Amino acid sequence: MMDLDLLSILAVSARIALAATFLAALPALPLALWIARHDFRGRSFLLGLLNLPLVLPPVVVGFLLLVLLSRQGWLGSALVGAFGARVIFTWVAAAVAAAVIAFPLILGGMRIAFEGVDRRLEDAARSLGESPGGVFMRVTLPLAARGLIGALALGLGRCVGEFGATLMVAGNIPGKTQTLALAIHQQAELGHDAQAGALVLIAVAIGLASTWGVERLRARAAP
Amino acid sequence: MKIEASITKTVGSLALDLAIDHEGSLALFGPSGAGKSTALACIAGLVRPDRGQITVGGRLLFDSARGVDRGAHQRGVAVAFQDHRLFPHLPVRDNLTFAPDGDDGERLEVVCGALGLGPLMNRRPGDLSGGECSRVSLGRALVSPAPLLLLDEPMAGLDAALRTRAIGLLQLAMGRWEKTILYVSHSPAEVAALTDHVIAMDQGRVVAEGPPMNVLTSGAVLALWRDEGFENSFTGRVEAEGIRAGREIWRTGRQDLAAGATIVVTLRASDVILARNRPETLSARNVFPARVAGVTGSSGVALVHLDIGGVPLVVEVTAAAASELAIAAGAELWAIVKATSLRIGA
Repeated sequence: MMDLDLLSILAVSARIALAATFLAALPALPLALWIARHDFRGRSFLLGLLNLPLVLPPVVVGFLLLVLLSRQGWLGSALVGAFGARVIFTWVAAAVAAAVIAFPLILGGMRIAFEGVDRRLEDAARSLGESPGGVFMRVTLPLAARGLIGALALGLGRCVGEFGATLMVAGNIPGKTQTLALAIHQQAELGHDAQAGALVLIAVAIGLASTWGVERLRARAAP
Repeated sequence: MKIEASITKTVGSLALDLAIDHEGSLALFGPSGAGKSTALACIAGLVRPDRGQITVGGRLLFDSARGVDRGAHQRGVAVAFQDHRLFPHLPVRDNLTFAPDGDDGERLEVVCGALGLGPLMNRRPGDLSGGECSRVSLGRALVSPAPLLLLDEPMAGLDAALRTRAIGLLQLAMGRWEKTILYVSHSPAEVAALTDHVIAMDQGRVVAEGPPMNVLTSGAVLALWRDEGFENSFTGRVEAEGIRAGREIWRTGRQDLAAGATIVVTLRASDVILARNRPETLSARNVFPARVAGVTGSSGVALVHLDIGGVPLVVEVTAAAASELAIAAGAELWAIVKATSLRIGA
C-alpha cells in the first residue's frame, strides 16, 4: 500500500489554491469594476469570451495552457528565458491552470458586487470633495465588500477542486503538484478505497468550513 | 460669491435651458419636473451639460467650447440631495464628517444642535426615518468645507418647527460661515425666507427672475405654487412681552423663549385677517396697523403685500374680499394674527 503524506497533500493544495485565487483576483478586480461601470460595443461578446473557461472542458483549458507554457510555447519560452526555469509540471503551472479556470467565477462575482453599488452614493462622495481613489476606498469597496468576499470564496473553492486542467499542465507529482483532488483520483485508481474515502471526507470538511466561514463573515459585514 | 451659468441639457423629455448670473445666494423655484435637480447636477459636475459654461466665484468649472470639465470633487460644491444619498455603511457621525478636511468642530456642533442630530450620531442611515435622513443630508452639506452649497428640497419631510430652525441655520451658514447657497424648492416660504433672488422655472425654462416677493406673486409664477400656500418668514428679537420685529411686538403666547435671542418666525399668508377698521374685543393677540404696498395675484386670489411696522408680509385673501375692502396700494388697514399662528424657529 502506498504511503499517504496527508500534510504534504494539504500544503500543496493550499499553496496552489491560494496562489491561483490571488493570480485570478489581481486582474479580475479592476476588470470587473471597469465592465460594471462602462457600456460599450461588444460588451456581451467580451463577457462571453471571459466566461469561456467556465464552459470549456477543463482538459481543453489545460491543453491550451500546455501549448502556451511548454518550452516551445511563447509564454513558456519567455519564462525560461527570464528565469531559466520551466513552468510546466511545477506547482506554479498548477496555480496558473486553477487561476484560469476560476477567473470567470471571480470576475462574475466581482462584477455583480460592483454593479450592486449605488452610483448615486459615489456621486454624493465626489460632490463632497472626495477624489476618485478616495471614493473607491471609502464608498465603492466597503459597499461591494460582501460580494467581493463571496466571489473570492467561490473562486478559492473552485481552485481547491480543480482537476482536469491541473493534471494536464502539472501532472500528479506527490509532494510537488499533487493536490487533494489529484490524490483522491490516484488513490481511487489504485483501488485504495479507504484512503480515497478519508481524503474525500477531508475535502468535504474543508469545503464546508470555508462556505460556513464566508457566510458568517458576510453576516457580520452586513451594513 | 458669483454664480454664472449658461447651460443647455436634454434628458428624456426635459430640455433644460438655464442662465444664472447672480452674486450671492439664490433659489431655483418651480414645480417638479421643471429641471431644477438637473440644473444642480450640472453645476455640481455630476451631469455633463450638452453645451454651455459654468463659472463659480471666478473659477471656470465647465466650458463645452474650450473642453473644460472639472471633476465634481474639484468644484468646491457640496450637494444635499433630494434622495439624501447617505452612506449606508457609515454611522451618522461619519456621514456628517465625510468630506475630506470637513471635520470643522464648530460647524459640526452648531449643525447638530440646530438640527437635533445629537441622539442620531451612532445610528446607521438604515435605522433613520425619512425626516431624519433629510436632516443628516442637509447637515452633511453644511459641515463640508465647500463654499457653494446646492440644496435640493432639503426641508422635505421636516415638520414646521424643524423647518423654521433649519431656515435659521442656513441664514447663519450664509452669514457667519460665508457659504453661498443655491436653494432648490417648490416652497415659496423657504425661498422667500432664504434668498433675495429667485429664478422661477417651468419645463426646463426660466419664466421669471428677481426678488422673491415680486417673482413668486406674479401671475405666471403664482400658478406654479398656488396649491402650496405662501408662508412668510421674518426675524425678530425676544423681549419680555413678545418678539420685536421692526417697530411692532408680536405676541406668541410662548414663555420658553430666551430674552434677547434672535429668532426666525414663520407665518402662513392665509393665517392673517385684514380689516378696514380697528377691530375691538378679539381673542387674537396681534392687531397691527398695516400699509398696503401693492396687490398681485391671479383669478380668484389676491396677494396683498403689507408693511407692518417695517416688516414686509404677504397676506392671501380672496379677490372678492380684496375688492370689498377696496384694498389697493397705499391703503391703510389692520392686520390680525393669532398668537398660535406664529411658528418659532432657532
